[in-house]
Amino acid sequence: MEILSVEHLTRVFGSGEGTVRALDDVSLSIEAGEFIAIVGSSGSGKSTLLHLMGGVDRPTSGTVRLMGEDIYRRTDEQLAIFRRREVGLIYQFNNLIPILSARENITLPALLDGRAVNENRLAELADALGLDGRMNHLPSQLSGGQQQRVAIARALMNAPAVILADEPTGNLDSRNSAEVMGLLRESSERFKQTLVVITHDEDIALMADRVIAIEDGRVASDARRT
Amino acid sequence: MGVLTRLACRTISQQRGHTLVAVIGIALSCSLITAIFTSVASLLDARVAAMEQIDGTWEAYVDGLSDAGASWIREAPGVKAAQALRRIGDAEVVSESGDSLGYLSLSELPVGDAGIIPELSIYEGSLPTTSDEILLPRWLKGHRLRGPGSEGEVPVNVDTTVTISAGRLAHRKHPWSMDADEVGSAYQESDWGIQRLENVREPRTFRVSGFYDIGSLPWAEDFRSYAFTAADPSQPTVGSEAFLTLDGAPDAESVRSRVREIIAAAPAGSRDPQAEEIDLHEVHNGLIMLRDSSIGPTDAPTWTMGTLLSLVVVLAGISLISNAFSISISERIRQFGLLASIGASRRQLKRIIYIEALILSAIGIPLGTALGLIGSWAVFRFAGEGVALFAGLETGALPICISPTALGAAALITLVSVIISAVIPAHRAARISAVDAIRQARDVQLSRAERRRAARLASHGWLDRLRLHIEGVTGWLAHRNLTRSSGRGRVASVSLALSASLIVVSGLLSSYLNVTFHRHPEPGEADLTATLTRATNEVGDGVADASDRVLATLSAIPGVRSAGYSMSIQAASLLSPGAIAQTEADEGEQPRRTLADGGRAGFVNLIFLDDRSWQAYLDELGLDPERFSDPLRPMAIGYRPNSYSTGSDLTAVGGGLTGTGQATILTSITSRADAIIRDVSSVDGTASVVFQRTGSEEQVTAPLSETATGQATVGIGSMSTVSSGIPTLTNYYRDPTLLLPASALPAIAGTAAPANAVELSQARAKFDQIARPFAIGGGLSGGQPVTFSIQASDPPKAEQKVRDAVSDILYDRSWIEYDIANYAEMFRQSNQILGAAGILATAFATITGLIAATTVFSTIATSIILRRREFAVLRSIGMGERAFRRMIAREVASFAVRGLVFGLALSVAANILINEVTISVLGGETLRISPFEIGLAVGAVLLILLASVTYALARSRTESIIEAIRDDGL
Repeated sequence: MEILSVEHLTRVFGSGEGTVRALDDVSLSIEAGEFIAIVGSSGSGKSTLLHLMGGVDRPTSGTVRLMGEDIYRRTDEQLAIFRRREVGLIYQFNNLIPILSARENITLPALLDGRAVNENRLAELADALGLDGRMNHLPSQLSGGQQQRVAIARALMNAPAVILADEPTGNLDSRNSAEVMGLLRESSERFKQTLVVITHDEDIALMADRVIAIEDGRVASDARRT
Repeated sequence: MGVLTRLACRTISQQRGHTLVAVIGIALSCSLITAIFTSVASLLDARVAAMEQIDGTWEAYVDGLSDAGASWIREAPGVKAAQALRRIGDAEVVSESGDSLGYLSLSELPVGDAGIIPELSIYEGSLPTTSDEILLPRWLKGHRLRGPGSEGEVPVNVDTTVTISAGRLAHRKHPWSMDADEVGSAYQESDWGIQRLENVREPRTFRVSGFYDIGSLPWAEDFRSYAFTAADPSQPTVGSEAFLTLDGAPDAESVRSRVREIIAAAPAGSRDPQAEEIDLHEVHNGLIMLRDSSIGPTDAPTWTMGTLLSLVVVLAGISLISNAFSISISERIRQFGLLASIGASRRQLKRIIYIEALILSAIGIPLGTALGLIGSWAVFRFAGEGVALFAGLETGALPICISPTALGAAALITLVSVIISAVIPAHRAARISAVDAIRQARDVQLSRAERRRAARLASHGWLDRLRLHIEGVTGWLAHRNLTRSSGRGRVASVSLALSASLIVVSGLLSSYLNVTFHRHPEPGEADLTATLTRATNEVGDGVADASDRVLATLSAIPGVRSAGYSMSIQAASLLSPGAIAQTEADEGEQPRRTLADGGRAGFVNLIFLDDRSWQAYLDELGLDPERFSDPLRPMAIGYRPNSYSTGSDLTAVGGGLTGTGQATILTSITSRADAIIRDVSSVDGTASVVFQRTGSEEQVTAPLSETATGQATVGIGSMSTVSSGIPTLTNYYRDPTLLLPASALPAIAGTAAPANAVELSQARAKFDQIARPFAIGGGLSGGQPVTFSIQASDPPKAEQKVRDAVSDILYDRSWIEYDIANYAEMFRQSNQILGAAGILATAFATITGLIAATTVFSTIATSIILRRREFAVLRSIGMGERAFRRMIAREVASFAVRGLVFGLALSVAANILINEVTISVLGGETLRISPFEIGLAVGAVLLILLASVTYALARSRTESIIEAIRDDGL
């Protein structure tokens, strides 16, 4: 079933001489549970697409539907809730709040929702992501890989329907990369989550069910792996 | 331009926010310091101008010149301007009783450039127009003269004649113009106490054309004052003297040497043949010292105060500017890290910061200097008259003195403080390593201390969880944010506190000034007073009758609402036991005053009031007029002033009457040929007179029973603390004070009950004569002062009319002197000064407050802006707008509370300090911080915070979340 659809999505930045057409009339359909890799050269518009899918930015024109609903019809407040519950976002850098510990960073979305923390799930995630013993550390006391894993744990904590990751392993060595991707993949399969990952890494692209190439703000190719 | 400079310039033009804040900080600090220094320089300049107004601009006083010499010296090279006096001669003035009254130095009116010596201030009459007329010093008026040198048959007055035999006073050097050892030997020989008059010529008769106020010729020595006549080349002369201003002689030493040079170059015939030499008689040290604009002893306190004030400004400025720099660097960590990674040395990184500082100074300092000058000019225009009065100038607003030294000093101080501000930030910039550029470059760097603190908080769960439960996520997050950057947070809190307390303190100071000094004459207080002195060696009406006539004249002046008079006579008296309290101090008091029967011997002040004022006073106190107005049985009202404002030691001296009773006024005491009466006191419990032998310290006592030959009993029927309605009553009388009507004089004079009006007035006259021996320090020149107080609807107009009326009265020669005080004008002037002080204080507090406020603004705004990526992350994981705003509000509220609490604490401390200082020094009421000031401070704090947050959020919000996250911010 279709979980996420993008129709004629266009995003223009800047004005006048500095106008950048980051996305130009992009349309996509994503099935629930799919693992999608988005590839493309720098500046091609991949991140913009991801952010629009995650409700983090507003399009210049076009729609994004999650389970049939046009998310951009929602108010800002509702979009915030959307981001809290329906979507998990992971970036390459700057994922964590520097003054909060790993545990606090992970539970933050839940706290913002006013819900009690599911300690079981937390423990499970910590274990699965190899963060035991590090839960009270500050981001500055964690290595890059550990920071990413905390960010992933945070994204998974609320069990969102869609996980959007922008080069999540860009900062990591190959072993960590493999581990992190493995975890993401496992989690998405287990919880029936849709996983959209922007990546440069061929290995990751090979892991995906579907590879979408973006070039100059448009979809250049959209291939399903068999 | 070097690459570092280019980088600095680029940064400045790009980081517009920071540049603006830094430039504002620099300009504000510089403008305030400039204003302070300019004000000080202008004030000091004005003081010089004021002194020149009063004392003249002369620098050197040269005498021993001939007529030709006087002309020559006025044009001599090196002399800027000059006035010369052609002297006719000196004459001794002797009073009728044979006492020498000093010497008159008769001169022609001064010629030459105006203003070198002050203009003669005419007290009465006019300048002489012919050489038969003479202008005399005021103190001569009313004297009868006799003896060698001058003759007169009637008391000296306008249109009377005096005869003067002038000679030449043996030359006396003034100490100022002597060298140190000359002074020493002259002192040894008491050389300047002895005068000799030589070559006394034929007497000449002059008509007195007028009198001048001697105060305008400050160089006149005590024993010699000037009399002036009109110029007449045919009259004989004893030489000329000249008053000079010189080209470029900044101090006394150079004045002396210049003048000696000039004298040495004098052509033949310049010296007066009768003089030994052309001599530098005196140097105008007072003016020269004042003018010497490097630190002179009179200037130091003013410059010190200016410097202290500047220090406050500098501190505020440094905190603002260094804050701005720190923040700017925090945002450029990546830039600096990159520079380090491509090989910039630490010194070069530091240099970038310093260059930025210099460029910002180059923009801010000229701006600030201009602002400071404009501000000073504006303030002087508004505060104008008050400041001028404070400086001693008679009229007009204070002119701005644009002193390059002052401006340069202000600019330099600002520059130095900017550089100091840049030191720590530069140091931090240099420490940024290359790794920072690559690794955590985009994050806000937590310092080690901050990290430790955050780690500590993260691990101690329960308090945190509690806070989470109580305040929710937003409060919890806010708390975390607040506790992390303590250094900067402290700066913001302190600056906020400073702003708040400055507002409160300046409000406090203005209320203090207003309450304590800003007064209008109260109802019952006089607008004008005229003090006339009655010559008591006159036959004729007694002083009371004469005063009644003057009163009638004054009351008839149109515009005068009411008038009254009072006359104070200090008389020896005994007080009955009930009337005065024995204070402890009396026990140890020397001389003893307590008598065996418990009464007291000493002096009392008798204050006599005109009948109308007396009746009104009785009315106000609700006393029986019949009992208190019986001329045969004088009944006094004991006056006990309400409060002694400067401490309690006055009451111990015995001023305070405590009860009703009786006063026995001693109206006649047998005097002794060889001694003068010093006191009446208690010797072994007996009332005695204390005599002091003339010419020695030895005291002799004699019991009153043996020496008193006349006394009068005055009942003390009531006590009063009220002084309104009697304008001349003060708060401070050392001796017990009794109020009486003038009609009581005859009875006190000790005569038999007067049977009719003639006897009444004779009795009054007699009292005038016999009261003399007991009045210690009675009127001037042997007279009895009577103070007339006047309330007028238009005091300035009334003053002129009163002056005219009084000078007419003075032609009745039994009134010999007068002095008019315009209280209404004094109040107006002091209110002006107050207003000026208030404006200046407010301006200072406002600007310093602004500097502090800018610090707060910059700190808070930037801390929000710097965290925009964090905020972006929070938003991206689903923090809603409302929650976000609550978090910010919670943070800001914490600052507000801290700022207000500290600010109020500071204000209370300042309040206590002000009360301590002012009450002990100046008296006045204690002040309390009022709700108005607190409200103002709270409002200001909230306004500053609101502005900071609004600005910061507006700037953060314009960027979308992903822009924020992506932002590289070079």
